[in-house]
Amino acid sequence: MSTGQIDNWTGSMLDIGPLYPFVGSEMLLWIVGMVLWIAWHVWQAKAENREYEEEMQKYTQGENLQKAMRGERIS
Amino acid sequence: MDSDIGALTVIFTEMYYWVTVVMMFLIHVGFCMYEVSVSRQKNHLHTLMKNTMLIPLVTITFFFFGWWIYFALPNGPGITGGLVAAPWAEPWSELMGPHMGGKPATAALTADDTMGWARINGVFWAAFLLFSWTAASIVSGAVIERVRSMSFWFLAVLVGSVTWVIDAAWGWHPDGWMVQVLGYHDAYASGVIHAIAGGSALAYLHLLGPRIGKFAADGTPRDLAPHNPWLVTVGLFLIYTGFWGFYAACNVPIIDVQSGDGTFLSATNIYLQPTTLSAITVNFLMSLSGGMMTGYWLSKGNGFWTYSGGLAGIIAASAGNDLYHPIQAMIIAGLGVIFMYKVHYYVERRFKIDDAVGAVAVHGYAGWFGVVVAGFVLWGYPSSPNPDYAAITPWGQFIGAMIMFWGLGFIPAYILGTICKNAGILRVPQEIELAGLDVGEIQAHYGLGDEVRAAEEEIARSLRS
Repeated sequence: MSTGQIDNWTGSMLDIGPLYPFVGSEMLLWIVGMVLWIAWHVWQAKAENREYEEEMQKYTQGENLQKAMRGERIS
Repeated sequence: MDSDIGALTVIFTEMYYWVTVVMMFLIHVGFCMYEVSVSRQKNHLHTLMKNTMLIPLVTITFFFFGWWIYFALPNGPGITGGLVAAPWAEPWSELMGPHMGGKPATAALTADDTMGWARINGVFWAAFLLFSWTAASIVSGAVIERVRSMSFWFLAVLVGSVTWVIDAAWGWHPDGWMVQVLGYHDAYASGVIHAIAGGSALAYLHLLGPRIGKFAADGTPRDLAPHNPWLVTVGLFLIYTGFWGFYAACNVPIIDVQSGDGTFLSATNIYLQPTTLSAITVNFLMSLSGGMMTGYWLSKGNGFWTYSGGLAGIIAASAGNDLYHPIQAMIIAGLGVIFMYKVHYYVERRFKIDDAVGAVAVHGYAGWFGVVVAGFVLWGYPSSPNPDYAAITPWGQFIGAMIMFWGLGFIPAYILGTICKNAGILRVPQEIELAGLDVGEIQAHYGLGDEVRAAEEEIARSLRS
């Protein structure tokens, strides 16, 4: 009993094919992988937009932009 | 694997490609160092992350669809035939996972498929993937200090996992339609990697516009010199080093090249034409030398252009470096560097293109030049072991170079860039560009240095009192 097609390493090596567990789930794994990839881009895009919006709010106040250009810390 | 010599050949090939992958990793260490050397401190981390994160993004997408594209599209499809079945390269294939090569678990594969691909599929995939990273990373350097990460990563996936793979299927596959019809020959990827990446970079640069301050009010370009020449030096030497792996990975290390009776084992290029590692090793070094000497001469000893000239020299000779005489390789490299150097400055002044690292010149113009020149120097040579395929010609190479730089390089990137520009996600806001792209906590961290120094000075004063 195992999660893959390997129960032991005896017998002919020519009978051994896939080594990974859950053979037959490859299509499902591909779909999950694609969804995770697209989800990462969606998350990153939102995070980048939010970060720039927050920065722009700071830079439009007082001398903050000039301070940032001089490498000084801004609140 | 049905004989001892067959088994050793397969295992040697597996090991060979694995070594090339490790060597090619150095290209990306070099690209990171080089990009940082050219960027200003306020943009360092953004520059690094932009280049670094293309690695996982291109890797997973090359697994999800890129590898299949290479094997499925050599006919176009629709030019010399339809889609080609490639069950070993489908992302859900059992051969995309660890496999011993025994009987297949699914009916989609034959015993020959599993026997032939089980040990080679993964390392061959990885070697191609490292080419994918390189193609995307070439674009990365050109657009530093103003591109938004998200739009660059969209482009990285487009170039790294789609467009360069299509051009490889068309012109860098033993049965690609460009090989069959045009006699296209590009053994070490002058066009297949470099011209397409350069064309893609040019499209994004045109849409992005120059960095603030790059051009004076009268249009005169300002030289935003590398801030750290040591990083330029080490970065480009690492790229040269990784390029050895790139060259080796363009070969098939051992295969029977004898047609008819008998056996003759040899290395071949990607088109399965015989060549030797000695040939490409000497030509690599001679073209590097021709490029460096010309770059030094043209730029009057400028370090940036001397090192870049070496790289451009290799790229200009790469299309035919399996066949050129070493002195031919050296001369072609030198001519390629003159071409890319002159075109770079003409385009910069005429079109106000701000290519921060000279990527379009070194890769795009030199790669385009290399493909075209190979058509003249190798005129009449067979493009394939298949005698029915077209021979190498100047017009076949010229059409091929145009497909690489403009057709699959510039145009798809221009379409994507236009979409990003219209959506407002192509370029960072001006305020961010002025303050630095290392925003948020990173920016605050730079400022924190001043606070720490002030606190230290306060303690120093208290010690004296």
